[in-house]
Amino acid sequence: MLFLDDSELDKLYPARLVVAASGVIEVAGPSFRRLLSRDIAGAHFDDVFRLTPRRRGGAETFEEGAFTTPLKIVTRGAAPLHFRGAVVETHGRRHLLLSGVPDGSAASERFRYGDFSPTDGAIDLLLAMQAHSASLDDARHLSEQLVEARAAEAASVAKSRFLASMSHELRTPLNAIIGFTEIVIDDLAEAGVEGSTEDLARVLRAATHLLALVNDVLDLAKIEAGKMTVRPEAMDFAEVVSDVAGTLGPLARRAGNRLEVELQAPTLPGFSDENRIRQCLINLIGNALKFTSDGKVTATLAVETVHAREEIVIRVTDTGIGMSPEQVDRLFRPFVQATTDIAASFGGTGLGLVITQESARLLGGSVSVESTLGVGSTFTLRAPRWMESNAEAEIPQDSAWVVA
Amino acid sequence: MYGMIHRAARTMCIEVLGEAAWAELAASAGFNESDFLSAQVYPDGRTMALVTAIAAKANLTTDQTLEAFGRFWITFADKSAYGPVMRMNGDTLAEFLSNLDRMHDTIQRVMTDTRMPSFHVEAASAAHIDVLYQSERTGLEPFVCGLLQGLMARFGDTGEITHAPAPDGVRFRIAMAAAQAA
Ligand code: HEM
Repeated sequence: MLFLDDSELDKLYPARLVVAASGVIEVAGPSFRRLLSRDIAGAHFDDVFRLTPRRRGGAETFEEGAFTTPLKIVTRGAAPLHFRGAVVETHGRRHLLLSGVPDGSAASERFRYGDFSPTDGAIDLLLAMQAHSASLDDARHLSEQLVEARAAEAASVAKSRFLASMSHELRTPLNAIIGFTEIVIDDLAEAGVEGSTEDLARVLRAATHLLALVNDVLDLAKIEAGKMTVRPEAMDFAEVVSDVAGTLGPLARRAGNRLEVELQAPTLPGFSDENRIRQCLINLIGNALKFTSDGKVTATLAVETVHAREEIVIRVTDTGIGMSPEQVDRLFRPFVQATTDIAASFGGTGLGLVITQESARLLGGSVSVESTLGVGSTFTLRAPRWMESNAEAEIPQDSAWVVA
Repeated sequence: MYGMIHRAARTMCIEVLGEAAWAELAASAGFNESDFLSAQVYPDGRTMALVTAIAAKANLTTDQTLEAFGRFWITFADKSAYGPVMRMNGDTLAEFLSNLDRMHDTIQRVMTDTRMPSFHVEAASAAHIDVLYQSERTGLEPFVCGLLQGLMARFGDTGEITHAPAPDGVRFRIAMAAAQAA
């Protein structure tokens, strides 16, 4: 028994039909009125609808007299609409309580939310499928990106490994050229043959320069391949600073520069990788001298306590040409600086700073720079005074560059 | 909010300001692919950060950007995988708005972590439509304005949208222009 009136039924089953035993449609719900743009009440069911055939023989029928019968019907016409539902019989009238079947076809796009019973989960399913396919698309897109990134990374590591392993092959013949040229120059000088040593000295300078370039490139390759290691040992920072300043003295004088060293104390013992510190200093002081003429370069060494940790702070200040903020920005990017006008006029690979930065990072420290165009620059190297002996294991992943 | 909202904002930014501007914005504001997963839920703060960053890049206020985003959302949803859902929602502005809650309800069944708004059509005539907007969030009125503008355009309607706070939400009034002339 149904105790709902027509308007209540219309809300519950917007796509409902009431069919008399004769097959004449007595009532068509609001959905049918909208979808078929005409009132089908009074028409014969078979003129408007077709029951979909059963799997095994014969057409589906809603006249079987069962209380509820799963039912599929299709509207007749050019763009048929599919409905699904059940039959409920009362007083010899058959109520077809139907719902559209939105199957993604152009026809089913004519369905509206209002055509579906509030109890019908068909739309939920449709939406779930759409949401599902949208997130699948995302996932596919992401995994494609991941695969590409992995491949690029692998290629880059392979390249770096190759370069790092070439190191020996490249350096050995270069060292031989340099060594033997020196011997020949000495021999010729001893034998009193003066004329040709000038040319040989040129060969020697060029070869030494080439070795420096090769060393830079290979250092960077090592860093990129993750093969650069640190070996902390007991050392004296003050000694290293004085030592490097002493070595670079002739370079300073050549350009009319004064190179001054200010030490907080004459000795400053610590535990770090002396070779890396030395390499950083040679780069920083060497650079300062390169971009300064008839000026002053000062290297200061001090200890500061930061977050309860003792840090050595080495500042290299010059009165050189200085840099604009854009130049500072480009400074530490591998291969970018090498193409700038500065690098072009002063020579070098431009990789020195990138290597210094990486070395500082490996030491658990950082390098920062402050610069004013036309006034000069200050580079600051910070590193822990006492490195952990297993520091190699805890190298921070983020860049150590701080541009002050 | 859900990542699909982020995706729409990104698409709008790329369409309006261009790929390069988007790349700059994403780099400086720190957005990457992991912020745009459709089925992922992000804190509202993240969503607003995205809107704010786009506003800064486009030289607009946050409210103007929200409004533009509202208008954009309608065309975006129409073209997206949810296009059929949009079409099923109704053939007139009033019908569409009446079915909006049911549509969001259905969507919520899939995207279970949403906090969906509610739109209740209180009155609808040829001259105007009154809609009560209720949300757990505040400050999204400009977004709703944009959405309503987008919907009006979608149905070929013109008119004016005003809104005023009500005890139970925010009441929007759409005054249809040329309702008689048509
Ligand atoms: C197929 C189309 C649509 C989809 C898939 C959809 C989905 C969503 C989703 C996922 C949210 C985020 C909720 C959350 O993360 O907590 C949302 C929010 C919202 N939607 Fe929709 N939506 C659609 C269409 C519309 C339309 C046409 C309107 C027009 C008025 C609308 C109005 C809103 C508003 C105002 C919010 C903000 C939430 C708030 O006010 O608290 N949406 N929607």
